[in-house]
Amino acid sequence: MSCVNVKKMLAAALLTSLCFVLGGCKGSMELNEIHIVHSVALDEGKNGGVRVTAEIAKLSTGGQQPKGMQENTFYLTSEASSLFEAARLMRAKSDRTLLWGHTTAIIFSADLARGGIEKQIEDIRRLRQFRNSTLLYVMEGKAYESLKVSMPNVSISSQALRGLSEGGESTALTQQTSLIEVYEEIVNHYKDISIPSIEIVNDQVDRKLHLLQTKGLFAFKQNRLVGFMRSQETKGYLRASGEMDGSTESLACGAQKALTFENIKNRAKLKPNVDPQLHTDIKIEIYADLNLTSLQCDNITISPAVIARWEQELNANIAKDVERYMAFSQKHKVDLIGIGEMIHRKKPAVWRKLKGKWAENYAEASYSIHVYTRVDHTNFTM
Amino acid sequence: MNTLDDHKTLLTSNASENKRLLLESMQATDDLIMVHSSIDEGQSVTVCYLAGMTDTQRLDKLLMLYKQDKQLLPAFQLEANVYTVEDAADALASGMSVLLFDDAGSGLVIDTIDVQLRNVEEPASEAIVKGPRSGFTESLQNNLALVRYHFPSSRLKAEFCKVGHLTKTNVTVLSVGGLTNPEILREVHRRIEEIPAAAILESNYIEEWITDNRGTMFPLIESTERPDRVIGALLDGRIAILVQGTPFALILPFVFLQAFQVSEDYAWNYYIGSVMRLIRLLSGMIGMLLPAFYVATVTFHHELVPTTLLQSIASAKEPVPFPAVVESFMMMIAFEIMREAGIRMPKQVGQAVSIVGALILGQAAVEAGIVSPIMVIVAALTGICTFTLPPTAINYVIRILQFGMTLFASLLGYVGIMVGIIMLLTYLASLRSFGIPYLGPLAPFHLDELTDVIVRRSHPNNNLRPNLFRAIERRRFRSKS
Amino acid sequence: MERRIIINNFQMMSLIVISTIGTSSLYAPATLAHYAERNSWYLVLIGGIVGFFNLYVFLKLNQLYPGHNIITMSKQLLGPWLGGAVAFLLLFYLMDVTTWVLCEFSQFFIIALNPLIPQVWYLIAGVLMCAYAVYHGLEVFARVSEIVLIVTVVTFMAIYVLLINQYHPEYLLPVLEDGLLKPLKGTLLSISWFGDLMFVSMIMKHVRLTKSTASYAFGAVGITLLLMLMSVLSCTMVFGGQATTTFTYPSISLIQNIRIFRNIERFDAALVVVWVMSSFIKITAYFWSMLRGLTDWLNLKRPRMFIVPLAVCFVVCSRFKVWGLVELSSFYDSQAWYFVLFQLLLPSMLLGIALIKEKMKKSG
Repeated sequence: MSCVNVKKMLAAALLTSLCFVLGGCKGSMELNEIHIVHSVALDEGKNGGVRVTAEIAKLSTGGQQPKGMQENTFYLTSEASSLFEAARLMRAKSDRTLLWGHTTAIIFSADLARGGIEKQIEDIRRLRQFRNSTLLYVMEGKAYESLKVSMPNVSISSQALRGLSEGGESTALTQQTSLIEVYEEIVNHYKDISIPSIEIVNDQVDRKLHLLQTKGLFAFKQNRLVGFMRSQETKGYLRASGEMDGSTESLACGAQKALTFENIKNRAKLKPNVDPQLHTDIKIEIYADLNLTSLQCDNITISPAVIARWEQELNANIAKDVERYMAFSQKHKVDLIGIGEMIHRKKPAVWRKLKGKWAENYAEASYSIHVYTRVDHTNFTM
Repeated sequence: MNTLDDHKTLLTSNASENKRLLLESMQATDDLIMVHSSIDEGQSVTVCYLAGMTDTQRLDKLLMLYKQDKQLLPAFQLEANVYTVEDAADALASGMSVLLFDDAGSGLVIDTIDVQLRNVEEPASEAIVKGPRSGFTESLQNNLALVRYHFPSSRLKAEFCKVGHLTKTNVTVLSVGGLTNPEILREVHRRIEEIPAAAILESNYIEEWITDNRGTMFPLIESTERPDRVIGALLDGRIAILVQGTPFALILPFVFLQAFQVSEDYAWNYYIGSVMRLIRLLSGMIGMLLPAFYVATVTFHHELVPTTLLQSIASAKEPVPFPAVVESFMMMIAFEIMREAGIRMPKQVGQAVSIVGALILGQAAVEAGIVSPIMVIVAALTGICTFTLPPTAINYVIRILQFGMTLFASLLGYVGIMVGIIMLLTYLASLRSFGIPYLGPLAPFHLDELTDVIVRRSHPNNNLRPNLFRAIERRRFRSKS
Repeated sequence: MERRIIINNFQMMSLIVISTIGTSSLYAPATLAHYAERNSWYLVLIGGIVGFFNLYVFLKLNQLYPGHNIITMSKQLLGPWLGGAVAFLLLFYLMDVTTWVLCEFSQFFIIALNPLIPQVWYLIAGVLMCAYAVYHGLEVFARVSEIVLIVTVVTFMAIYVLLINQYHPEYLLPVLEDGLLKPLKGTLLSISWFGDLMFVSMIMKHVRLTKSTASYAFGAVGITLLLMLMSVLSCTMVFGGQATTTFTYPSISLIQNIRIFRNIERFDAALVVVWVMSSFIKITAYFWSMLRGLTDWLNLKRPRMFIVPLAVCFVVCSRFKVWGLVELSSFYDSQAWYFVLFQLLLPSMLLGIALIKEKMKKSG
């Protein structure tokens, strides 16, 4: 009996697999049939449409060693009323199917972002291919130009974009912002979003050389771009939100001389308080650890007293940054840190009253900034 | 003519008649030698033996001794007397000498066999670094002696039987009294007795008759060349079957996870042993799934690879005209061919094959744009992985399953692989080896037993025998506390 | 006379856990968040408690009628005609659920992996492996379910642990700001997920009863509850309440969030593993129960003959049952009472009648 069954089963298996094979492996895609898209730029198109530019890796054949991310790239552009449509239309210009799943960065043009990015973000999220960690940037001017800047070291600009985003950890001038984070905030409304800016600058030595630079964040109200935070505001924002890792601070001492400190730790404590008249008061406490890295001043012997003075000055400096940020955010009525949500979590009853007019309320809120810095180390020399 | 019920002819008291009958029964073969001689006053015997198979000097010596002392038996077989022509013929055929007494109607069988066999060597198929190195040979007596030498216990029980109505192969069933489950032992005997085969030339002949499921390609009985493995199995409450004429002993019951164990594990420190076992498990999985995984990834799930890696794979794949499935099938088949060639070819040309294989199939095929370098890596790793497993048939099964899994992967990607794995698991779960579920302590799940299957416990911690084999005596030793 | 089929407690436990957790925990967070946003854990708790009661009903029924499954039980309890009708309804339900789960199984891949592969292929692949397991019988797939349980639980745990640096516990605050009653709208749905253990009524008579059988069974619901809680909590803590609502399969987004060594991400394959394995157990359990019920209902001699026709029937039904996931999930959402009716109400009714009969017998 078992023998017959085996035969039957084998026949069934053969038949099924035959069906599958003859059906042609539908849905599968050989690597020779695809182009890998590395980064995408989104610009405003005509009639409210969107213009998509994709950076695609050229694959060089031959040779035993695959080049990895050192291949050259080419660009394709298409325009349509929605992002998905534009991406599909791009296939008409491409000799292979485009694989969007490896997109490392998406660059919005500021003009597009002023009209709202919710629609685009939604579209991108709806597609299963895009990674959650896809980086977002906003660029003043034409976004696609940034893709064409050739960086000195890497030939695929997505690599540059990824590398640049990580620079924020030591400079505090930009912040790595991924697709999923922006999407979450757009849906959750816990806080307003900010997206790092990218710009093209000339190299300071070789004027002809163009470079990409990330400096500053764009602030969004709901999903519309409303303002740009320069270095100081960005730093203040990152400090106040407690998301800063490393940065530099400097104190002037005499003419053209400065003390430079390296920020190594930063912690922020925010205590929003709503009084019965629904006036909000925000108490911002910042605790920072710094190390001395450069000492250009003459005749200074480092002693606890000197350090205490520096700390005082640093406190004032940092407080100024944070103040700049608060002024900026109140002017544009953007709550980038999510103070509203903090109130919501702590006092749901109060929040119910505040909810509808939080933007106005926030703009009028009073705040106090307390900075506590510590300088504990002076590195290799005393 | 006197005949018995089962068509045997009794020996007569007439010498020439006996000779005629015997010659007839032996198909008048030319190497049968029959010499008439007288031992005692009045009594004469016909000495029969097969030329070339008999140690004639020893025979002479024995005859001399026999003349002096009739009671001298140790030199002869235990059941020395034969009464029928057929029995005498069988004894002759298996290398004995037969003395036919002229007027007694019976014969005496003397063990004078002299066949040149291999000496005890290190088993070729199961090499180890540490542990006993002796392996079984083709001689059943010698094999039994080896087991007895390594396991000198009064509880070791050997039961003889003859299987195969033509070859009359000697088969020995080994078990340990008071430890082996008698029900399983009885079942083994029942199945062996029921074998109707004509010829048993190798242990696999028995395996295929007594296995639980004759339609499966998975081995339900283990085979090994190593006495220490047999002993280890016996001490777990399993049963071993030695077969004459082959160095491979059968061990049963056998569960799937044991295919990843070697006896060497117990010769090393238990951490080392455990890691080696885990490596073997891992490589078993890689061996089965890697090509399938590769094919599924590069044809269905491009998004799931890190970007840099995909870029490298893509540019390496660029000049290759074939789909990934075809590519992987080509490489897998090429590897199997090389492996098979490596076993069959004479040792002197071994070098040539490996050079040709490595160069042509590796380097040149990549440069010619027939396969991508990544595929070569995949095929090579897959091939090597299966070599880590001890050479049970699981090894070969895994290689065959590779192809099936790759096919599934090419149809539905990861889903296909998973469907394949699930069906495989279902199939394995439905198998039994002598009533023992084939998926061993994994399903039905027994954590305490798994710790001596997937990894290995230290000897002092290994007090409990696996319940899996239904050993009667569960404790290995009495702990002091 | 066929050999008596026996499975052990652990196998029963793994069957219950997998068929309840494996499939639902992938999309449950989204649907629950739809009702209760950041308080969806509360719905899970309520569902779990009802789940315990649900299990109790089946255990009690089994205690009153040992050696019977719910089909034969209702026949014996309500007589051949009424009981037969109830049995038929239950059978119909089992069959219906099989096709629902099969449909879910294929929809997942269309959305999460590749919309180009026709749904029928997935359906065929799915039904093929399940029919094969049903052919081998309960004992075999119960054994497989033990392995599946380990793999599933380990995978889920790994996912939740790897996300540990992305959790924002403050996303759970404020706790139950709208009171205890408002989120309860979604209770029925939550109950219907825990009610997936309904097939226990079919396998209970095959379990080797020991002292700890009941604790294993309740433990199974406990594990399910815990895993479900973890899935809901981690979704809420990573994405926040509203964002979780918008995902079709929040767990996929969850797993896509995992990044190790900075660059290695997209462990979607792990989800494929869990999904195929747990769907397999779930479909097979229902398929087998259905076949078993059919056998008992019609006193079939050779139930195996029916596997292939039923399988074909399942594929056809699943293919044309709903057009897509939107329809499917809205049905689950709005018609949850349909599932609860068969999972909880009908069995409870049977239990009630049985208890009354018992009492009457004692007093009479």
